[in-house]
Amino acid sequence: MQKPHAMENPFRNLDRPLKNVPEDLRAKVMNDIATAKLIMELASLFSINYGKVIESTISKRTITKK
Amino acid sequence: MNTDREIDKISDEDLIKSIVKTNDTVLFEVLYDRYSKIVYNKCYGFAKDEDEAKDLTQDVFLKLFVKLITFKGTSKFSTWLYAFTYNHCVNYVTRSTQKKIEKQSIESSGLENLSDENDEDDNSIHRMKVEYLKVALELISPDEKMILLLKYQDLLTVKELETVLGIGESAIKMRIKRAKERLINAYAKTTCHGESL
Repeated sequence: MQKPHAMENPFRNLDRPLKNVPEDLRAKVMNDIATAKLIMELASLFSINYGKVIESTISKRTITKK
Repeated sequence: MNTDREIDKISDEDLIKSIVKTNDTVLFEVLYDRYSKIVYNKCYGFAKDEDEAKDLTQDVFLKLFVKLITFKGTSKFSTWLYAFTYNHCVNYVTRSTQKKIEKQSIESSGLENLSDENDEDDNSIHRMKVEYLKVALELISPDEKMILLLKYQDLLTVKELETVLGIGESAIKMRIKRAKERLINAYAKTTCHGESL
């Protein structure tokens, strides 16, 4: 039972009871995620890893000096 | 299955690290299962109907997958996610209603005695009735609604608000103070007899 004089924070009850997530949403979200993953992976194929390029250039240069 | 149980035991922070490292969609599903209900309900608070809440939730999770790398672990993941969700909703509502949110410049004179006033106003807020509070929250700007929800519904501290919103302590306190003032005024308008707090 609730205490009669307890002052409750009304913000805590704003969204109560919590609504259930529509079941079809999960599939839609995961479909989006699969597409996003594919795009991210494709994009990474066409981008240059500058870190690796610089690293390999520097190491080659050091070897030539020696 | 044993593997499912093991996945469920992983902390949010470790789960995020694994998702960022591998882009594993199965792991992301685990994250979706943990937070879809809370995210959906938060989106519902900014949406007109169920369809809009679904669209907002779908967008939040897509954006989350792409931006998960920006979570640095300086706050609890749930705290960060709430702010992330509200930010998306606020941007959506602001854009769709073409509302121009006035820039809130912070005058230094208004920063005095903020903590004392905040405590007094909290009593006013705790006396509000949920049905009127819901209406009053629709009468203030989405930004103000966001900061009040983060503070009073999700119970973020000023420090946590500083971290997730990326602004300083004084600015946070000033925004809360202004948002509370607007809410109290809006609440008075929504109650039939101008119920005083």
